[in-house]
Amino acid sequence: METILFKNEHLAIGNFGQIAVVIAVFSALLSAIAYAFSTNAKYKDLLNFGRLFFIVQSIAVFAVFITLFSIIQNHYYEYHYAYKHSSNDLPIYYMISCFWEGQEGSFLLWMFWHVVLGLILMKSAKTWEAPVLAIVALAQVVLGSMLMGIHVGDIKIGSSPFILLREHSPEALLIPMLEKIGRANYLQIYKDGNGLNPLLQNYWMVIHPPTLFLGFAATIVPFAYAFAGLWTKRIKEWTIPALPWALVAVLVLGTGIIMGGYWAYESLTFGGYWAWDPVENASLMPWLLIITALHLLLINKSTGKYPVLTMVLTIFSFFMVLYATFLTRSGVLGNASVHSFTDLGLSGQLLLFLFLFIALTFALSFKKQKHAALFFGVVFIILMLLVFWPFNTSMVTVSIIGSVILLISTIWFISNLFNLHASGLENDKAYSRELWMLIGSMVLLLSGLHIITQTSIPVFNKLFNTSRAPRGEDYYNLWQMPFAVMVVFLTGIGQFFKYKNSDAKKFWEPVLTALLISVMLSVGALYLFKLWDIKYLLLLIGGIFAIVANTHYIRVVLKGKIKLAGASIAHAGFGLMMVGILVSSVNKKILSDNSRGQGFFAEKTEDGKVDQVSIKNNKENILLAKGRPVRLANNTLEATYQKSKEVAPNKYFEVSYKFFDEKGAVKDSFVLQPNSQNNPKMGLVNNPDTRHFLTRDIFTHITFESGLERVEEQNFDHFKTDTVGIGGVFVTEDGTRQLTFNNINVIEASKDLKTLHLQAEIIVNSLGDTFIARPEFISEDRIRIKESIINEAGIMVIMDRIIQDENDERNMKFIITTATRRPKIDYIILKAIEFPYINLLWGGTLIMIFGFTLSIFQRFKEAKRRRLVE
Amino acid sequence: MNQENNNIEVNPTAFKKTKGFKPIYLIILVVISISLAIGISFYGDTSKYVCFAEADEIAKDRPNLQLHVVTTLNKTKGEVYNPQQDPNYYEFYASDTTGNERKVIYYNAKPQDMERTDKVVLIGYSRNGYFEARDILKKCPSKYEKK
Repeated sequence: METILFKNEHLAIGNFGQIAVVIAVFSALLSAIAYAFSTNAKYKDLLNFGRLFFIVQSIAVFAVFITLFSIIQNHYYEYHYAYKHSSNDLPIYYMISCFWEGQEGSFLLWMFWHVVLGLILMKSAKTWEAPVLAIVALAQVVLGSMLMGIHVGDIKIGSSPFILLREHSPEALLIPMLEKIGRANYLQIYKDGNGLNPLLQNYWMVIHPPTLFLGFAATIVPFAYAFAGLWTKRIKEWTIPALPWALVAVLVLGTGIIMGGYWAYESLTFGGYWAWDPVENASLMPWLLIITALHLLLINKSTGKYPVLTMVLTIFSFFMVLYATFLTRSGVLGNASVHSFTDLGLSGQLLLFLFLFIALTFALSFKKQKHAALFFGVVFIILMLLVFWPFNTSMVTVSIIGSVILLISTIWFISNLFNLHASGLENDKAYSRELWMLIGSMVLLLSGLHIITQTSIPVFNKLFNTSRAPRGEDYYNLWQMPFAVMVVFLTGIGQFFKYKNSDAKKFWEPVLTALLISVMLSVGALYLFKLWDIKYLLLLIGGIFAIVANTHYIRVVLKGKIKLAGASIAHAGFGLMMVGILVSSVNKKILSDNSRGQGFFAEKTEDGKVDQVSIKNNKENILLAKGRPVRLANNTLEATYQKSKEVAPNKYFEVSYKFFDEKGAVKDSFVLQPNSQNNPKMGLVNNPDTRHFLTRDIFTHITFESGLERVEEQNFDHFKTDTVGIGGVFVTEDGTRQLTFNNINVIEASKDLKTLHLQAEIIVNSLGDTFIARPEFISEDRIRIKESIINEAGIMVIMDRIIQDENDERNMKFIITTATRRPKIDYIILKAIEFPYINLLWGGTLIMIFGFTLSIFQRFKEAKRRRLVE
Repeated sequence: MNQENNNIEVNPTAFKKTKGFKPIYLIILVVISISLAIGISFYGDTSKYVCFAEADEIAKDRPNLQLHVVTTLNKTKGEVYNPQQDPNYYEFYASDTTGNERKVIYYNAKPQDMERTDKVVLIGYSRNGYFEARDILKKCPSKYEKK
C-alpha cells in the first residue's frame, strides 16, 4: 500500500501514552521483583528499589490516565477510543463517563486505584510492605499488559486505548466520500465521535464505575496480606492488618453495586433495580465472598479459630474478582446478558492471569521452597497448555482435565493449609458467638455459591459443549429468599452471643424481647404494606427482627455508644433493606395494566380450554391519545398525555397524573416527562421519569409513540358531495364525522370580482374531538381549489364550487366534497409502575453504609493499637 | 456473667473436651447437603438453547418450560405492530440457526430499536404455529466493529 501522509493528526500524544503504558508495565515488573527479593533478609536493600519502581509506575499510570482523558477531552477522533466513546456535544462530566465506557478505560481505572492503594500501603504496611506491594505490583503488570496492544507473532497482548481509528478500522478510510477529498484528509469527515450511549448519560454513571472498581481493587489488599502471610510464614498475624481492609472492600464494592442498581432504576426501562443479569451477578459474587471472609476474619481475631477457612475465603474473594472480570470481559456471556460487551480477544490473557494468581498462591502453601516451585511450574504449565491447547482434541476432554487439575490442586492447597496451621476441626459451644457467626457466614457462602454456579452456566456450556440457558429472575428469587431469611435472623441474634460461651439466660432474655416486639410490629407492617402472602411472612418478620434486635443491642449492651455500633447499625440497615426489597417488589404495581386486551389473544388448547400460559401475558402498555384522559388502576388514577416537546436530541412527553382517594377527590397531581432519544448513532433510546414520594415511587416510560409509526399514507376514500349554506350541518359518507359550515371569509376580492379568494371555516367533529378545516376557493383567470386535510381526524375537505342565488346575492350555497381515511392521532404507548415503600430499601442501604464506615474507623484504630502493642 | 467468664478462664480446656454432640459436624453436613442441592438444581429442570424444531418437540410434553432460541430477524417478511388497535401485540418473523423460519408473537410493546438489530435471543414458548416470546434479548451491531 502506498504511504499516505495523514493530515491534522495528533500523533505525539498517543505515542506518549503508549510509551507511558510500557514504562508502567516494566517498572511494575521491576518493582514486583525488587519487592519480592527484599522479603529475603539477604536482599533487604532492594526494598528501596521496589519503592522507587513502584513510584515510577505510579507516575506512568497517572500519565496514561491524563493522556487518555485529554484525547477524549480535546476530541482527537483520530484515536479510536475517542471516536467510539465520545462526541462533541457531551458536557465535561460525561467525558468522564466516556473514559470508562470502554474496557481499556476501565482497566486503567482499576490500575489507578491499585496505585492509590499501593501508595497508602507503602506508607502504612510497615513490616508487610515488601510482600504486599510485590503482589500489588504484580497485579499492575497483569493489568498494564492488558493495555499494551502489542502483537507477538499471532498472539495479541492487550488492547491499546491509543490505537488510531484508521489502524483499528482500516475500512474507515475506504468510504466513498473520501475519494473526493483524499484519504489524507480523512479527519475532515471524522469530525464527531460516535457518542456516549444515552443510557449512560446519567450522573450515576459518572460515579458508579469508579466506586465499583475501587471495590474490586480493594479486594487485593486482604488477599495480599493472606498471600504475604503464607509467603513469609506469618500465617496467624496477617489477619490483623487484613481485617480493616476487608471492611473497606465490603463497603466500597457494596456501595458500587447499589449505585449500579440505583442507576438501573433511574434510567433503564426494565422497571427495577436488580434483574439477576449475569453482569450484575458478577459484581455480587465477589461481594458475597468478601463479606463472608470479613466475618471469618472477625471470628479469627477474637478467638483464633478457623484460620484455614479465613485464609481460603480471603484468597478466593480476590480470585472471584478475577473470575468475574473474565466473565464480563471475555465475551463468554454472549447470549446470556443484555449487556453487550465487546470481546477484545483477551480471554486467553484473562485466563492466564487467573491461573497465574491461583497457581502462585497454591504453591506458597508448601513448606519447602522446592515443592512450591515444582507445584507452581507443573500446574501453571498444564493449565496454560489447556487454555492454548495446540492439539486436536475435543474441547470436553480438555475441560475435564482442566477441572480435575483445578479441583485436586484446590484440595491439596487446603490440606496444606491445615498442615501449616496445625489445625483440625474446632469445636464450639452452642451458645458461642463464633458458632453462630460461622453459620451465618456459611449461609452467605452458600448463597454466593448458588449465584456463582448459575451465573457460570455460559462457561459450562462452552467447556462441556452443552446448551443450557441461564435462569430467570423467579428462579433466583426462589433460591435466594431462604438464604435471606436465615441471614436476617442470624444478624439479629449474632451479637447477643459472647465469644467462646455465653449465659443462656442472658442470651434469651433480650432476644425473646426483640422477637416479641418484632412479631407485634410485623402485624402492623402487614396492614401497612398489605403483604398478605404467607411465603413472605418469615422474611418480613426476620427483617424487622434484624432492625429491632440490633437497635436493642445498641441500647442495652452498648449503652448507646454509637462509635462501637458499626456492626449493629450495618445489620439493622441490612434488615431494613430486605424489608424494602420485599415490599417494593411484591407489591410492585403495573399502573398501566391494560385489561382491555386481556385474554383476547389467549390461545385455545386442543381440548378447547383457554391456554393458561398465554392468558398470563402481562398487558402492561396502554395507549394515551393526546389530550384525552384515561382512567387507570381501578379508577384511582387518571393519566393524560398533554403534549410533546423536542429538545434535541430528546423528545419529551408530558404526562400528567392525577391520583384519587376513595371519595374521588384528587390526592396527588403531578407531571412526569419521560423522553425518548432518537440517537442517529445509537438508535432509539427511551428514558424513564420517576416521581419520588416518601412512601412510593411512580415510575413511567414510553414504549412507543405515534411519530414512530411508519404507516404508508393511506389514500382518501368514501367521497361524498354536499351542498350547504352557512350554518349547514352535514356528515361524511360513513357518518363518523360531523361537519358544520361555520363561516366564509373573503381573503381577496377585486371590485369586478375577476379575482376572488375565499376560505371556508368548517368545524369538524371527529370521535369527540373538534377541528377546523379551511378549504379554499380561488378564482383568477382560472379556478383553483385548495383542499384542507386534517390528519388527526383523517378527513379531507374540498370546496368545489360556490353557487350564488340570482335573486339574493347574500344567499350563497357551497358545494363541499369530503373524503375520509383512518385518523392519524398523536399518541404514546406508556408503561407506568408504582414501587411502594422503595425508600425503605434506599434508607436501609444508607444505614448499612453508615454502619460499615463506623466499623472501618473503629477497626483501623484497633489494628493500629495492636501494632503499637506488638 | 462474671462467674461464667471466670469458669472459662480458669479451665480453658473445658470447652475443648466437650463430648457428645459437636455442632461443627452438623454445620459441615448441612453445608454439604445444600451444596449438593445447588448442584442438583444446576442439572435439574433448566431452560435450554434450542432451535424451533426442538422447541416444538419439548413443548409437546412440557408446554410451560421456557426455552431460548437464538435467531436472526427476517425483516423482508414484515412485522405487525398496530398500537392503536392493541399496544401489546407485536408480531414478526425470525429464523433460527438451522435456517428454520417461524412467526413470533410478543404480547408487549414493540421493543425499541428492532430496526437496528439483526440477531435476537427469543425466550418463550413454542405454540401451535408460532413462537410466543416472553422476552427478546437484543444485540445491537455497532458501527466499525470488527466481526
